[in-house]
Amino acid sequence: MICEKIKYKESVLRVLFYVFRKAMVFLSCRDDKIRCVMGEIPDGFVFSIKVQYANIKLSMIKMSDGFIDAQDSKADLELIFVNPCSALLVFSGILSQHEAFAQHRIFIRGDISDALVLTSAIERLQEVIFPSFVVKRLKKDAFGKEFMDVLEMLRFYSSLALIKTRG
Amino acid sequence: MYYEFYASVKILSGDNAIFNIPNELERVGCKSPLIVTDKGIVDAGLIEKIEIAFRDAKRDVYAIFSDIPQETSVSSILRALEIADKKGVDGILAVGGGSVMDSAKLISVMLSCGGCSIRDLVGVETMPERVVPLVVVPTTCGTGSEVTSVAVIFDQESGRKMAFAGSSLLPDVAVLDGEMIASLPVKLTASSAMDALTHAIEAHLSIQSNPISEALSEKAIAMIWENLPDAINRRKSKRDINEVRMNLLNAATMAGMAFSNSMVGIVHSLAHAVGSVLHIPHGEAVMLFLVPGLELVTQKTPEKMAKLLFSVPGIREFSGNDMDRANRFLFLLDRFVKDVRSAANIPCSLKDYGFDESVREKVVRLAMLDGSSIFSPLSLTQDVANRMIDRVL
Repeated sequence: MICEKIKYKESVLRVLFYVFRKAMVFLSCRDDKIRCVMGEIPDGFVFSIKVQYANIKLSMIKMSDGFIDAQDSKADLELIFVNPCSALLVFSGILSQHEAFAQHRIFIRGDISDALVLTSAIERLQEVIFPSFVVKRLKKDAFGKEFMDVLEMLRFYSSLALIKTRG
Repeated sequence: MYYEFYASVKILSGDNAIFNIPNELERVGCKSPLIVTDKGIVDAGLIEKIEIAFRDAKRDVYAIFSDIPQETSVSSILRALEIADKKGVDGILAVGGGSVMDSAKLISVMLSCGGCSIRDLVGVETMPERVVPLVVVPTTCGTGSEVTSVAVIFDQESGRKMAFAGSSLLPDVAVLDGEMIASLPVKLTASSAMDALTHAIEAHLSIQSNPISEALSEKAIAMIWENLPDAINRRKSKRDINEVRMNLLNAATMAGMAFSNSMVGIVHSLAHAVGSVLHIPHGEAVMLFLVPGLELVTQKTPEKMAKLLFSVPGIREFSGNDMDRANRFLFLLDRFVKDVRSAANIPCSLKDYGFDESVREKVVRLAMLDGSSIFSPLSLTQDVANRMIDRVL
């Protein structure tokens, strides 16, 4: 439904990717849960998220203190959305990543275990940046938002407004 | 609801199906196939049976590579590719279990793309199209690999299992012939059929399940439940043993089609992990975690589990709510697993396979990184993995 309604999907996706990238950079150097999950992949690991039929790409490199933009480095892992509609469903919090994989809306180029690690990190990120009712729908075992998560969410959005995040 | 379902494999099933292999190879444009198999299959005389089918069609077996190890490896695939190149083969005929079929899938894709590296193919739906024909003949009744679009290969260099998924991995033809599993030992028959049963159940419970995969799962469960006891107690059984074997082969294939499109779940994640660490045969590992894993999943999807009760032979109706029916199914399944285990002499505890607390952390970590759990309705957390392990100590 949302895919039919939104006319300028690519522009909307650019904004969502921007917020997502900022959140990844912000939380990867602050949030212990994301840091713990990302501990499974080595420093220097590059992942990218692309959208087929749209010139939208996000590429990040894992450093010891979090994620930064990877520019044009070759990705160790690529998640490719089959079309802008699929990416929109995931980045707007309508569809969980698990459901998107299940519905063949994402291709993976690279190790599936690494993709699973990234999925867990993104899930954690969504837990912080999305409101509780969205998180409950997206996560298999969602609990209510913890106080610290709310605080982190407020910090992130205020830093985003002030354009304070690095990267 | 949105789903995609692949089922492009032509299936030849029944007595003497192997005699149609030369014709099928010709139909898919293969004149000089490379037979990919393992030593166990050659020793069991199964390749001789295939050779008879070729002789009847006035054809020679062109080339054989029988060096596929029990755990599929990159090096064996590269060796097979060398032979394929040297002999100039134009198709692959795989005769064997999961390892052989998975290797053959990768060999045919790599022959198709001419010079691509196996590591470049790792991933989901990113593989080039396969143009080299692939015909497979399963010799166990469990993996379902003959109809699945996945393959798992062990990479000695990194010490990890590489997973590949994509429609290019679907064979052109699968040949199911009861004669090819006639010499399968009781223990292997039991464990491979229980692997197929687990494929069917987990595919049914997966978040990716759909009406087609559910129908296949339910039928596969019913057929395995009905036929496996006769296949194990073949001497005591009054039924036609060839019919029993064919039913198991067909059921494993149906379960394969279901899980190829719906995937499996946390039972397989734990089984893969203990398989890597303790080298427990896959079917036996799956048997260990089947009931403990499903008990936890039931809390998430009692309605889906409840539907499975009516796949158990002899059960037509059952009063009570979804949770009651789900619990009844689990009770019957537990009894079934125990019966199969004792009849086939399969260990019932992780400790019987040499598990000790020093490897627990590694097993849990590997299980959590296993791709199978992506599609489970229950998230495979550390706590869930530990609870499953505790249940089978």
